[in-house]
Amino acid sequence: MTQTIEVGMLGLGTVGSGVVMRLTQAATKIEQTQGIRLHLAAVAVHHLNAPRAVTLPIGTRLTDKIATVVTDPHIQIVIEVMGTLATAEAAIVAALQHGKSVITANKDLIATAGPRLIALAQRQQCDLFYEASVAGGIPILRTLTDSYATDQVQQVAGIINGTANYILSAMTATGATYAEALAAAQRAGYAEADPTNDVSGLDTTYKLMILSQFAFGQGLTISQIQPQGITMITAAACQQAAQSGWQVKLLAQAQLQVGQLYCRVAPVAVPNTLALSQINGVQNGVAVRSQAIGQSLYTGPGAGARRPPIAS
Amino acid sequence: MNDVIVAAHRWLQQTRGTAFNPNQAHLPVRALSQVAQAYLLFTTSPVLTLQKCANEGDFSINRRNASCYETSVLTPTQLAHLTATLGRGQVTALPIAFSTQWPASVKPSVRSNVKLAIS
Repeated sequence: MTQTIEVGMLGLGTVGSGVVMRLTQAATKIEQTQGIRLHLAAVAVHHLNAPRAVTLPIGTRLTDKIATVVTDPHIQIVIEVMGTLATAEAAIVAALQHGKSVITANKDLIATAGPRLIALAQRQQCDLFYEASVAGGIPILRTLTDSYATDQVQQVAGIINGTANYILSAMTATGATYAEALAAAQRAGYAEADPTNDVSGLDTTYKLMILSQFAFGQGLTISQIQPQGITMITAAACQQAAQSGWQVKLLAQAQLQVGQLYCRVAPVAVPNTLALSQINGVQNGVAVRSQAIGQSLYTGPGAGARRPPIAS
Repeated sequence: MNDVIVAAHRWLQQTRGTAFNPNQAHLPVRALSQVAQAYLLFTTSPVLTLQKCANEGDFSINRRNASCYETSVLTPTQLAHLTATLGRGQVTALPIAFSTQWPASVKPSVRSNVKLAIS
């Protein structure tokens, strides 16, 4: 018997449009395999008359009032894809306070406000899931929680920013300058108009902060990680490294060593002999080393890998 | 989307609010850059200058490419001395991933019983 779950969504930008498309395209399969009908009851947007990349299903209410979604007594699950900080946090808090389960991919918010949102969700006996906040298409958080439940993770090392990896890969492959590679990434829709968070290592840092919680149970701060970005890396360095047996990658690392956790976000030289060195373009890869399983590598598209190109 | 499915199932099974990361620790956090490790150096400094730095600093440097050199494991102090000698902006030092030489763990002191002759 199929049961219906009422879903509300906050935001209808690139990510939100993708969610609407997936909900529509996968509806039959979800019903057949899960016995669940996900009904998109309402979507809150900033501007009601802004142009949309998708057409909402018949019966979905479009509103410019977040409160009407997060307080709607019929809505059971709220998907937050606004991508802001303060507004998104206030909306998630309101949703949790009204007993909704919340799904978000907002890594900036989870990295900085995660503990208090999780505490609220626990008090309200609601779910707060954010799998897509790290490494987009790789279900790494649930894997760390479930598959390593009886294991001890010793190290996580990840290429978890598709924009930076695209730029470094292009500089290595074509000899393009940093500025040229960034411009190409922007034309291809893989970099924002303001790429600061991606190229400064801040986005990678937020993701490492979340990964560390799941891998080691340890919260990290930006000041502990002190991220270094890729803006000072030259194409000559990338190409000479590649010719000599290394690939330059923006790598997030956290390693447990004699009861201490060592961490870093920085461009490093990854030996060609390691599978991580072969993660190119907008692909992401997370290598996990654990006591029982040993070394594992999880790869897949990052969150921006299927982002449509920015109109020029 | 998988999160939405999981949340939907938990709602229907009335098990929501139970799936939180149980992993909690309070570990001392250190910067990986403060551990000895090997580096790739990119510099146009003369080879002789680099060799002199290496000899003075008691480490080795091997040329890998036109202006690319691989160092042996360097402590943060050795790296700082090297970059200071070559001049800031004259060298880019990229850590070689997974080349870290971890400090030896502090072993508990060994205590042995001492037999005393009591007369």
